[in-house]
Amino acid sequence: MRAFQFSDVPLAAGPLIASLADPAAGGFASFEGWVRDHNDGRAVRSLEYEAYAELAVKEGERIVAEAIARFGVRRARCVHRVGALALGEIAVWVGVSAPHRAEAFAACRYIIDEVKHRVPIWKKEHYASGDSGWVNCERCAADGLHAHEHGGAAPAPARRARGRPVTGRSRPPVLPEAGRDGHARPSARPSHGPRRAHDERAGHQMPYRGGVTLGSRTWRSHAEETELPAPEEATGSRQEARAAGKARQAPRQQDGRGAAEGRAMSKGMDRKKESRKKPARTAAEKRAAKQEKKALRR
Amino acid sequence: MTNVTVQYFAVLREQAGRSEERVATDAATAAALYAQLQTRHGLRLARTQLRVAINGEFADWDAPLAEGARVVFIPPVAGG
Repeated sequence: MRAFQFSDVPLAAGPLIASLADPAAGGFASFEGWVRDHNDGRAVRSLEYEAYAELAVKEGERIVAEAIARFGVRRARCVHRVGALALGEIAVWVGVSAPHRAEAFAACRYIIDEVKHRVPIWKKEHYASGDSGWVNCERCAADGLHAHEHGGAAPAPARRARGRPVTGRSRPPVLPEAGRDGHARPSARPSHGPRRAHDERAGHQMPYRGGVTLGSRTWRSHAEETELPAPEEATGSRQEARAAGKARQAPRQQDGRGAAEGRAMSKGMDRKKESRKKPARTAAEKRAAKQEKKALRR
Repeated sequence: MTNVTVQYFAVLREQAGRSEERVATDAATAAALYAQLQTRHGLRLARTQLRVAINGEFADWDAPLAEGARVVFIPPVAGG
């Protein structure tokens, strides 16, 4: 079994789960990416995946190895489909077995996020209207030579453009680990600025910005540790992010005092931060912050 | 002149109308090679939208091209 591999036939979860069995594992977490019937406001009829297998397998195995090393999980693997896929099929499968659930969830999320952004795999959507397009590429091409950097030199803007449709496929809910922008990795917005909501099209070049919080540490990807310049942000969202980060960690740091106390404290911290330096927030931001807090209470 | 093999994937494969070709080039770097091929095949992705791999590993755009190198230009990825 390889830690990362491709399959040109439909995936069945059963044997994949069995392959991660480990006597020292007390938990297992998996993620399945499914072919869905719409994207970016268009009805999708089927998908096609293509990969540069030689490099993709190497990069995929690096990602799985990183997850195992960082989160201390027992076993992990990822299988990605290539070729033509029908609606509902599993496009990608990630599974992790670990002593405890926290590491399993964190490693699983790390793997899928990194795979989506680093591994040379391309997806072509075939639309109900009869045409088709490569996800993340068609608009780049349409922009012509409207060049933009996707890499570490990307500028700051941390906010997804407001009021514009997002071009990406997956819009995660607000998760504490990933921040408000989820896997969009907002800090790496291409250089033509925050108004162009095309984080997804930037694909592989987006350094992982979310990090995964486990215990009191926030794990960050190699790309971020080594390349990301931690740019200043004009929107004030870094302060928010810091406040949110502290609020996230507070309950865990309060170990022994009880979760309720930790929560109360983190709430108090939030309020202080807000009154001290947060600029006025839009209704959308307030909603997102509320959701984030809700997620934390769960 | 340096002889290299260029592989094309996904949107670049379609734009170039081929998945692989042998190229004799005077380009000293991967960046210069892409500029030449962009003109030759009418590739519509800007270099800044791509990454490059040489001999099966990610490489710098200004890495020198060695004889026999296998070069792949990588469009924005979309796995998952």
